Amino acid sequence: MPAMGSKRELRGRSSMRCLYLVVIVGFWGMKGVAGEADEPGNRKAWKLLAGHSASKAWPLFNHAPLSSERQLGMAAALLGKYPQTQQNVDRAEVVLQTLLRGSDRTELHAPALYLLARIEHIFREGHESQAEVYYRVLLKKHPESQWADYAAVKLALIVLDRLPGKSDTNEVRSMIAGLAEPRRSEARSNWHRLIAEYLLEHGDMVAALDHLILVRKLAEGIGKNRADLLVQLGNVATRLNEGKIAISAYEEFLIEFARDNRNFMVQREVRRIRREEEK
Amino acid sequence: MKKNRLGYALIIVMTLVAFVVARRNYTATTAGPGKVLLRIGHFTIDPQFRSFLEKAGGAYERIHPDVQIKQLDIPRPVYLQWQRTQIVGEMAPEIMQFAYFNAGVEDMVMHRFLVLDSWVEQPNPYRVAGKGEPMMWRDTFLDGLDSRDTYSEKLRAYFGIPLIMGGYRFFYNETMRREAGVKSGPWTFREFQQLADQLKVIGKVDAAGRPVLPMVGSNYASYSFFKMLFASVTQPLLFTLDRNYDLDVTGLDVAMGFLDGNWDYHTREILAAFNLIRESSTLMTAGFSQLGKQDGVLQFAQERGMSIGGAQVDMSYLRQLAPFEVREGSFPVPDKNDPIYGQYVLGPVTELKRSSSLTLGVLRSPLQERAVDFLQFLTGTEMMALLHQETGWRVSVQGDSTEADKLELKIGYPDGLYDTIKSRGNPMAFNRNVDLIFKPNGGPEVFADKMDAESPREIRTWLESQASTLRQTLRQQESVIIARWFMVPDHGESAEIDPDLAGFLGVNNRQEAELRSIRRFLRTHPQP
Repeated sequence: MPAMGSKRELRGRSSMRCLYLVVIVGFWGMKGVAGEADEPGNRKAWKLLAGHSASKAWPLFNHAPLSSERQLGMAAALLGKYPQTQQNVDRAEVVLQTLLRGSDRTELHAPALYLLARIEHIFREGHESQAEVYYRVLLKKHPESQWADYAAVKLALIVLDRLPGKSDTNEVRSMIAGLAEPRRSEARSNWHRLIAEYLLEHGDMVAALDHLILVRKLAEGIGKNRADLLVQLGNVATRLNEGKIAISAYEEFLIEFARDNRNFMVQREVRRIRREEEK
Repeated sequence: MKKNRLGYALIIVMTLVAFVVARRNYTATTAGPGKVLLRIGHFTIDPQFRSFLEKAGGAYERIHPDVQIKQLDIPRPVYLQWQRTQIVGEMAPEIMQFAYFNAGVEDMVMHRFLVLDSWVEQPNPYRVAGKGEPMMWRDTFLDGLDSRDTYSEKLRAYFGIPLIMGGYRFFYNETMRREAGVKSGPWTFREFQQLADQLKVIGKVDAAGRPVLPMVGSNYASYSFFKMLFASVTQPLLFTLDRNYDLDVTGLDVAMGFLDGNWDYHTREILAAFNLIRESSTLMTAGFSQLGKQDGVLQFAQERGMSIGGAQVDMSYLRQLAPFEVREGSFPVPDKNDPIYGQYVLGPVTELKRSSSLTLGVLRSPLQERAVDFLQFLTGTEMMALLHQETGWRVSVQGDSTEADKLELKIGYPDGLYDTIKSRGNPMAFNRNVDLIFKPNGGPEVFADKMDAESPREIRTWLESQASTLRQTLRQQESVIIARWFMVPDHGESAEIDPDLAGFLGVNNRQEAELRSIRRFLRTHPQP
């Protein structure tokens, strides 16, 4: 141990002073970085989360004051953080359960239930039954919520998935008739879309066409999703000799998606259908 | 002691300077009194393109004095590694070029790049409105942003903005054509085959005394020709393999169709296509598949063959290199009158669509909106004209009289099936056996036997990986869905669904339906 006031001791003290100074300056620099563009409350964290930046949103939620909103944000960020780990999923589940037990902000219960269902449905393997329980609880407890509508769509996926591959047309149709339909038109449109695709997979074009027509009627849709819908509708209607429906869908597609790669094929189809109708 | 104090003082001063510089750099890349720095990392190091970007940056800085544009041009061989390092180290430029021919890019784009949907559905403020405008930014592009680089099928979202039209073209030696008395193009495949005889008749030889062939080849040049030949005779499959009736044959359609027995390598159209490829290889210089792109170009410049295939951007340097007149045209593919292949031809193969290239994406950062604005500027009327003027390349955005009109590019059936067949599902089997198509004791039948035997296991594994990626994508979306719902001002119990969120959920639900569909398929198609 160096003697008090010795050169070595003095050098040691000076080193420590330097270290403190460096640390203080470092914190000053860091503060400048972290403090940049601060936004009130958790808004910045939600914004980051909405822009696929869960890893950046996580520390903001984690250091925010305790609240139900923070809990929901934490759970969502844990699920979106990259790389995804089982520990994060388990932790998100615990946070959501705590939110459901402790929070009086009931408007956050529906999204929390939805996320719990999604943990079982998509983050875990073979837990469809547990997911179904959460979806049904959500539908029962918050029937007016838009999350109930989303749950109805996901529930349909679980039920349809259970049908044996070789089910006959009537079996499939009666199963579909028993499904709960969402209330809001956008969700209903989604619901009919996935039913239509399922029916097409099973070769039931007649029933699929009805659902595709409803999809078009219920919600506008955007981008490639809408372009695909119009082409599918035109193509299925053509195969069922529903010329008018086909031409109407195809023409809408040609107007709205003038630069789509399928235009050449669609234009040819329209000309062919018209020729056949004239005969 | 004095020395020590001086040393400590130096350490303190240097530390302070380092923090001040770091702080200044940081503020310079965000907001505040300093300028905002937008960096563009790319691997298109052609001098003409760099010059264009320099000028475009200058023009943007003039109208936005608070912004500074800097390009980082990185040679292609090291670009991917550099890009990864920059992104992982959180030092990435705000805008980066990417292309799916670089392995693993799709995953990187998904995790780090900005989704551009909300911008592409709005007009580009830098576009001078023409007749019938304003149109959405997406629709100003010649391919409607419908390319693998710009649009992610998995996320059903737009990630990239292309600057030029890629596409492949057929280039030929016009001087030689005239000398040989060959009629001017475009030629059908049969007419092109006859060129070999015509060149022999006039005794055309290269500098080494070897007979000149109709085409020089390289792995790159032959690929473009094979792709077009393949597309010309497999058009009926665009309908029969279309699993979900959207007139778009994807890797999933092809893979599931194969395991379902809807096609195999003995299917008439497929066999015809590989026969056609084998036949066409006899028109090329020997050993073409072993030659790189530059070797092929050199052979063309040395007049060892009359023509060469390549990307449309190759025209400018072919013209610089070749001591003769170079012209471009349509690839010589079979038409409906072809005695052997005509039965499979429904119409022309597209030369215009599905081919945008030189794609730039925006990294998620505090400057992302600025970066998107710069991309809008680059693809606005003025800069697109400048790009064409500087490089001679066909730009990605339509103008008053498009370059496509001048070149008389055909629209037609998609040209992507060759890529899908060779690189989606069973690329390893394809690469292992592709030489059998050309071998004297091989041929398309031998190739088909091998492919049919070796493909099922690989295709099934590929489908499993597709399901896994799709599941991963869906997992990433959950937090975004919650956040988008939360960001909507009215998100109470009885609130209506926000249109943006509805669009996102529409994509999410379709993807999940697709995932379930693949899994159902895998359940009923066990590993062979």
